Amino acid sequence: MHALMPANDTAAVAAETPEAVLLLRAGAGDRQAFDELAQRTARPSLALALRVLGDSARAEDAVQDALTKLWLSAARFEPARGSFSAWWRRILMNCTLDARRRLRPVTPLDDIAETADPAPDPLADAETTDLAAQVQLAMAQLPARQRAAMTLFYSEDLSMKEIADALDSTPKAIEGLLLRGRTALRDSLAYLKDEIT
Amino acid sequence: MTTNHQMEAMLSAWGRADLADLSANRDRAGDSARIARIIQHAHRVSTSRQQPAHPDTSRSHRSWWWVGGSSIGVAASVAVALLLAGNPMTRPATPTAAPTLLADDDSDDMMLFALLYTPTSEEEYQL
Repeated sequence: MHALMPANDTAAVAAETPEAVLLLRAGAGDRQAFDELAQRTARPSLALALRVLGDSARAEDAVQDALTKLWLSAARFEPARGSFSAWWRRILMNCTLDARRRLRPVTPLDDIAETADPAPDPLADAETTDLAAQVQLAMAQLPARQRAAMTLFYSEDLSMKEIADALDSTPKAIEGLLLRGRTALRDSLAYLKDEIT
Repeated sequence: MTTNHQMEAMLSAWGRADLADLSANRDRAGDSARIARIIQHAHRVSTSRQQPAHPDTSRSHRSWWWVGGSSIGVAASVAVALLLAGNPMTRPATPTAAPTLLADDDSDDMMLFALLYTPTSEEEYQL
């Protein structure tokens, strides 16, 4: 495998994750490596997309789109220029936000301020008792990019810079997205405060 | 109203939650089926879709405007050099070296020749 890589990549790969090595092999046309990579990434990627999209079927479509793009762009991956996780996160978030844009209904100009999804009704789903699922429902009221920023911050523990890279934005703008997201959630999650010790 | 601490605790719980905990109906079987379909899709893509040719890294990655600009620069340099040297198509044919007068032992003949000889305008130009 190393014979397929430029010499300067070999050192970078040595310090890389198994996913990066698999992607390099996939980039050289190794289908088995790509299948293995898909198996490793499918579940966490689906969870990430579900956090942003709030809908399992759409999240599944987004991950499938992202994997297609990953296969087609695998040969361009260079570990020396960035990690696998950063590379993959950017592709996945692009596909996730694209999926959300594609399915969003046309909004009249007067209603632009109301671009968020309808606020969830916590009592609507009696089966949902888990705190995470309740927060997930409340997240539905946030615009897509706020959700994406919240997802990357709270589930991936990324820095502002890393989130900005994934969302093609700036750290300052990400701080703004997180602030607005928290503010919007504060009231809608108030009914859960007794569940927090 | 929730406090900051409560908010952070809720959001952290949400961030750490597993896939199944995020589904409103906790559809674990559905999630497993979705993951299986994603893996199957990836396999189908890798077997049916050809990866685009990887750009040749041995070649320099110069953009079209860089190459175009260089070509124009070279052409301009050649044009300037030709102008400075004169146009060979219109320039009158001239000898490359100045005419050489051979020394003659007979200096009187030479002096007489110099006094009587009147060069033509063409010869003047050449001299």
